[in-house]
Amino acid sequence: MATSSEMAKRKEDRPERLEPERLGVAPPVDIFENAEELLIVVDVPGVPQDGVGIDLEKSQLAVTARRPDRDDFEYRRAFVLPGDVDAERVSAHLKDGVLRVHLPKRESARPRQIQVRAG
Amino acid sequence: MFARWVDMDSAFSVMDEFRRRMDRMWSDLEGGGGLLEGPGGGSVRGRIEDAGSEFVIVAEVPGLGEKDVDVRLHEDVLTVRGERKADVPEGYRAHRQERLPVRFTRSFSLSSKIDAERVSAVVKDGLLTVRLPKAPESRPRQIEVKGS
Repeated sequence: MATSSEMAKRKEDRPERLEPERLGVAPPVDIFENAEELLIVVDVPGVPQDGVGIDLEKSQLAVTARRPDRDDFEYRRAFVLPGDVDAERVSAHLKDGVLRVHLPKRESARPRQIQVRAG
Repeated sequence: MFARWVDMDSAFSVMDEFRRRMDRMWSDLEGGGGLLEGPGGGSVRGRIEDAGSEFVIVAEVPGLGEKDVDVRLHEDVLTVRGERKADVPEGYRAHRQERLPVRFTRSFSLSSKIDAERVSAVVKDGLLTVRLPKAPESRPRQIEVKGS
């Protein structure tokens, strides 16, 4: 049972929110793969070039995108990536409200054709 | 439970009314106005705002450029048509596909007369914005309040 002093402490611990938190809306995505890379395509209509945030931490990719015409929500989608993604070479392009994230696979992970030599 | 038989009737009509209100709320959130769905079964998310001197319609058309959208105005009904074709990149296999190809038609019925000559439509960042200035006689006018 909480004592009155505990309840007071809990209130002090919680920071005041000056800006109401935006609702997160999950945009539709396509996920494709070929030998070289994973390709994630996200519909983010209304989002300009500087409205996209892409965070890659360990094996989690998080995409957030904001539209200037709506301040009540943001697009949010996260992905757990397979281990063979080369984080250094991840790239993203935004055009007509569609975001394409290219996640190249590490060299060693790519299927290689081994040449069979004679002798 | 019901004191009189007629109470049960009114209980159901309350539920009907509630459902009607919910339906209206959803269509308001969707952007109001008329809502037509084309043969492709697709509709497109949009909203309509009455900005006093003009209506502004914003529709979400990700992946579409100006050539992919058709906008028509006929007797105060604005119709937006377009098609988003499937864009599966060649040589890839799909793990997940939520961005479906869609052919859409969406209509908005406007409650005031429009000045058709000054209607504009712009597609940018996957958003179609149509501005429909109201005809002069339809614009809200401020009536001056005089002291006697």
